[in-house]
Amino acid sequence: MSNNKMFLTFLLLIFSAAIIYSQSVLGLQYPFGLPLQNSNGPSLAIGGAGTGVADDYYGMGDNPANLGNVNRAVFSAVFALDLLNILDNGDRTSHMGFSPRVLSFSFPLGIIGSLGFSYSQQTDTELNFRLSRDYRIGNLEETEDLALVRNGGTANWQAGWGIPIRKWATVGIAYQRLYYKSNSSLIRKTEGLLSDTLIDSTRTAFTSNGIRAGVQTSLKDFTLGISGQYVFSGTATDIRTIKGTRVKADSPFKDSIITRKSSYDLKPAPSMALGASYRISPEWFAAMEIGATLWERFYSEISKKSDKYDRAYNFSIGTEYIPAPNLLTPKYYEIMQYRAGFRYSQLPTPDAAEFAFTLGTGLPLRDGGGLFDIVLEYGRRWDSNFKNFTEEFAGIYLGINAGRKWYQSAQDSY
Amino acid sequence: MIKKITRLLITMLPLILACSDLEDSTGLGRDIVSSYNPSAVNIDQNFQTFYRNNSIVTDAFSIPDQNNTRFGIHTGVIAAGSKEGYTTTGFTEFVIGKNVGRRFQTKDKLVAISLSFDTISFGTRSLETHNLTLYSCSQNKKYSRTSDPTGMLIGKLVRDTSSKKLNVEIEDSDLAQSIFDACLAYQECLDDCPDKKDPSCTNPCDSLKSTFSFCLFNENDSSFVRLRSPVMKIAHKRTQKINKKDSVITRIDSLTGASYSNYIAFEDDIGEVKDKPLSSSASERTAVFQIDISSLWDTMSTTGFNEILSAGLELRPLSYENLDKKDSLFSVRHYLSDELIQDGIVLDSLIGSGKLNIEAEYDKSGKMTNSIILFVDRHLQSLRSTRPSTVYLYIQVNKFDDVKNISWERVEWRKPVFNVVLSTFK
Repeated sequence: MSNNKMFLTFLLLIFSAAIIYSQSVLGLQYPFGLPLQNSNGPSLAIGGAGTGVADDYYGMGDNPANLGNVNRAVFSAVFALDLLNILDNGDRTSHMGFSPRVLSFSFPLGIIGSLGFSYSQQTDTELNFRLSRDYRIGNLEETEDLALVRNGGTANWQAGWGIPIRKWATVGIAYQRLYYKSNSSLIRKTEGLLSDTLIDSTRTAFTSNGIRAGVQTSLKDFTLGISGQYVFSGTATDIRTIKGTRVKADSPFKDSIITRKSSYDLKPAPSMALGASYRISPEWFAAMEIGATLWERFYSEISKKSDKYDRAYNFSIGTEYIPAPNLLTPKYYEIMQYRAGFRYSQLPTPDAAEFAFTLGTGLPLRDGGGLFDIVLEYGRRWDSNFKNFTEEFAGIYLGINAGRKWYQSAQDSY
Repeated sequence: MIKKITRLLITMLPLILACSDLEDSTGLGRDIVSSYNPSAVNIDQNFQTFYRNNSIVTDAFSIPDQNNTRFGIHTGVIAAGSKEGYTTTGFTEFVIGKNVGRRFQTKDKLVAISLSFDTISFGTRSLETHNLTLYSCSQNKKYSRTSDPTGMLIGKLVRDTSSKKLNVEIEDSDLAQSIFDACLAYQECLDDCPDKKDPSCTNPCDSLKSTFSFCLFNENDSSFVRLRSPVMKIAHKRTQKINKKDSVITRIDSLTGASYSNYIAFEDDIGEVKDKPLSSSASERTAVFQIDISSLWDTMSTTGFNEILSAGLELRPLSYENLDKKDSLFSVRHYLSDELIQDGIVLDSLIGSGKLNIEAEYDKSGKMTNSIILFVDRHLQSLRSTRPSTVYLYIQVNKFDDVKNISWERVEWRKPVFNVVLSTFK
């Protein structure tokens, strides 16, 4: 089987898993659901500490200033397979999900800098919470189901520009369009001889514009980076729909649907990050980052919970090792990139946080045409207000970074 | 190397997925879910059951209870005769307007008019022994429930020797001429128009219409015949010019299909059946249960559960009968209202097309064991604002399949019991 066919088979297997959804109960508490890691593959492998790393494979995901380091066209994509154990007082349920996490493309424009475009999934609201009980009514055996089903999340489209300033710094700026869509349904269902479903669902949509900006400066082997994001306030729309759905196919009657619509102001939280990286030797490289999301600045006209969100700090650190980066005829494992990282992130509510360890490897593609990233992550998240409740998560991130050949052919024509 | 790693992932991933105990939902984290939506974690706050046995059924009977109602109307075909306590009479009408009239010329001369019926079934007796008579009757006899012939006798239906068709000729010259005049009226009207392309003159001609109605009776007490909608054959002569001479007269037979046909089926003795909760497919007899549901509204008021999530009346047949005895399959339609409906056509428009298919089942002692649930939640939702204390449940039975064919299912019902699951919206 050729490499391409194997890769396609692998992707097919992954996509077939997409019918099973991963979820987070803790994410219910947060304005846009659970925040997701949405860096490029190499950054994910070092815990997301990419703000201070000057490397074109890191794209503009961590810092738009990194676009100033782009001197070839680079395409990157990351797909995430999420595994989750929900643990509550000794009970456990396991879940899985799959989603594309990042798609990005950046290319140089000579002396006027570089342009970049990207899509990333920033938050996820997925939850399928269900309670059930059996009972008798008259001579009938019935089952009552009560379910809270939530799905959706925040997608972020960006267009950015970056340019180097002499040799010691790069700056970048990006326009972002934020799309938040979430559907939350409370479902009451009775099954048996009396079979009916009543669905009370609210579909929330919010779209807004934002800007991101960043600076990176390098001194010898040391690079410092800072970036920030600000999203302007906008109008969110809730459409509440109440409908009954006859489960029996031979029902003679159609159900009437009740729809209510409301609009309100919403302002997402700004965020910022400070990162640094150091090339210790040709083989070793280390990076770290601290950041904050200013949830206290989040505002929702209708939410009574706005004041319960607090500033969320995050810290990440990671390292990379390449056994023989400069050998002329190395063995393959000697040019593989081995990475490890750790991250700790506070969540939007004051007593909630998560940590994760990451291990990754970057597999160089033939003729230096790119990098295939495999990143494994293990971590836990919790909220101290809910004793004995933990979410244990593991992730497999698959990233592809490519584009060198495309660019070289252009270069050859110079 | 990358090939090996990809192969390892392809092998390992399905293994990991197969060995893991993955679920699509969770019931854990109630406290967190409760902080988001308190009602999402408490089943008691979302469901309330309500059950009443058959003591809330305050009356059981069937409709129609008299003969001037519009029940038992079956359109598209004609049936006439008697069968085990049922009588059927047929009705058909012809509308003669532009479409018929354009085939005629004003100088056409009437020869004869007859009606021809294709037979569908006529039992085991020979076709000639049935005593089918056609009468000219008024349009208001369309839904007439009487076995006594009315109107002007046209004649007895006679079998065509070469087929299974039954024919009758309209011998009354006045009626035949009036039908023929109606055929010519369109062309005569056009002839009066100086400009035949002037719509202001021709449009009134297009709307000229005459209707002729006929009733079919079977005057043999013990036979039953089913017929297709009839065709009217209008034979007339026409003078045609050949070589500029009016010399050739041709007979032309113009065929016109009936615009509407039906048959009405009704019981010979309504008094015998109207006091039983009985459903009959042929006569469209409808079982009715009068139910006191005031306790449902009281429960909804006192508990605060304001949504009827599901409601069903559990119903059992007492007896099932099929005069054709071909199968034990039948279908049930139902409707719930706070009004006692006495008009079959009104009820038919309300009862809808949904049906529940049932096969009659019996225990060893011969008692019927079927138990069916008739959903009434949507009916009750529509009554929430007025909260009537008394409602009427209407039950009709019909053939299992949808083929247009007379069927003879008859079901008597036991009193139903009432099951409701209530819910609420905040």
